[in-house]
Amino acid sequence: MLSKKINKKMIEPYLLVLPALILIMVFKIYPILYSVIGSFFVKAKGGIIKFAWFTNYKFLFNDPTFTNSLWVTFKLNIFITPIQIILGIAMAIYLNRNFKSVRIARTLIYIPVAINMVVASTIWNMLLSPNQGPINSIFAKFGIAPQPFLTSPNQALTLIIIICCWKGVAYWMIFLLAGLQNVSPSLYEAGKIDGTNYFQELFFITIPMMKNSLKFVIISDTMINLFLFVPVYMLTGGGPQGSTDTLMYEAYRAAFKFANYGRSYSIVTILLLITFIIIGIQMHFLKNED
Amino acid sequence: MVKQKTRLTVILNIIYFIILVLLVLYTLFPIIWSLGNSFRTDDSKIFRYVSPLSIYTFIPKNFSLNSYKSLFTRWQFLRPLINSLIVSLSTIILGFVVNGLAGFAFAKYNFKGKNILFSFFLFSFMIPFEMIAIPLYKTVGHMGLLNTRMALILPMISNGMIVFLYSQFFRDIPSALIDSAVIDGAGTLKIFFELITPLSKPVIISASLMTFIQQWDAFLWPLVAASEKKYKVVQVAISEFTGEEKVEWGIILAATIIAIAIPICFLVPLQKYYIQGISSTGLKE
Repeated sequence: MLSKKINKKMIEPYLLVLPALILIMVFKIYPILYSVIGSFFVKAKGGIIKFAWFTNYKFLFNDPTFTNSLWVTFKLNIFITPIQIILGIAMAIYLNRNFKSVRIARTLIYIPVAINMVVASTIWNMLLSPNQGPINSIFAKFGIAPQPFLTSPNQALTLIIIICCWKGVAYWMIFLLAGLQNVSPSLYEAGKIDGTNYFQELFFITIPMMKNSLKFVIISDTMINLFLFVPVYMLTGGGPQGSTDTLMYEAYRAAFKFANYGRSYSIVTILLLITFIIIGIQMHFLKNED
Repeated sequence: MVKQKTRLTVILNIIYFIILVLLVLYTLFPIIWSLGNSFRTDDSKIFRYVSPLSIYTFIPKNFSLNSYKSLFTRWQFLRPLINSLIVSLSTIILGFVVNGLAGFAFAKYNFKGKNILFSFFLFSFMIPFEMIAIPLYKTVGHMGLLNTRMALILPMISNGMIVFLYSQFFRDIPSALIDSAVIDGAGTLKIFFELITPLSKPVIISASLMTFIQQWDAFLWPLVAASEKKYKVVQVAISEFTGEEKVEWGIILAATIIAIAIPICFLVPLQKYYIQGISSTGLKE
């Protein structure tokens, strides 16, 4: 029980929350509204901004660059998030042992969490250089022909997924491992008595017990990947032949290369809509039965 | 029977550790390669030893600090480094005050709309920065803050996850302690800074690390909001290196090694706090 004296000053808690609230409103919520509203405006001749209903959207859906981006974003997300989460779960289970060597390995595996995506992209770009990169010389050692890697429209998107996994999986693993370590050992013992095998244990004890952290990881990871930008900017510039041109990169180009903000806001708004739909579906399936 | 079982366990353990080592190697391979090659005497050496593959692909025959020297002299890397540190540190300090006070309110007060506000904060954390970077450019532009350090600091201060983290921690501080301070006539701010703050070292370290990593990881926003030479941060400087043909690999690698080493210097010794922080936020509803 907190002192009545400070509870009586009912305005005080609001004042304490206010600075944080204002900053979030100004720097997070307002920009989102700004892009939704801005998507209905176009820049007319002479630089006048005028309301134009769905003109931006009509343009977008008739533009093959945009529909390609939509397709690339879809392809990327259908693979990247499930791969990252499955790897995250697998690594969390794998590394959930309390040996000194495993603890040291964990510390080392966490390192990419602290590495900026720009740095990760820069290094991988060199490693994957088709002519001078060490990956191709490792391939040569095993008799594999040199690969074009990021310069190939067939390989670039896959490589972006691999690089994002290198950088990102350990981060999600921290959450999942924490979830795992919250599972009480008595549950496993009870399972042992009932004669469960390894996979039953995995699907009926381990994963359900990770549910809270899993929920958080799934939703956060989905959002981050839908808005994937940095590796595309750093590694491919949307190419080759538009094969990695994600929606976020397209939105960036519209705004900062072509100063076409109407187009950019419309793309961001579409992404927002897609995000809400996907998160809505996820929430529906992940909600607690109890 | 027993002997067979132990032999199987031994084999399984060996397989376990082989996979573990492979996992660590896969994680560290890019970093080791960069580290080794950042110490070459000159760039042609990197390419000469890439193929055929040998130990010298990773380790230079002669160690040299040339790349680091020219990174700081010719490419003036010190400035973005200092900019990054100023921006991170300011965000951490201001973030502690703003998020800490909000967390305190959620932990120790009952007020109308508390739950809704709290959910709102949590939700706001989920918004990826990329989502708002483009419209934010206009917003911050209207404020006249583009190409200032404030442009990088202000939007990153308030953070729903950190508010949550603080409120979880403050909840466990006994209210009796606060009550007695109130009876002694201390005001709320005095209680927060003189009573609560000294008790909250672990959570402050967790929150600071999370903020630091977040600032260190941001890219799209600093790229558009502060790309001017004077305020450029490390990430933006490195991204420009790769764009320019004339920058040698050795110099880029030296820059990446510095950009990796700094967060690791904080994160490895304080890892416990970082993991405590992010896991306690991820476990809750």
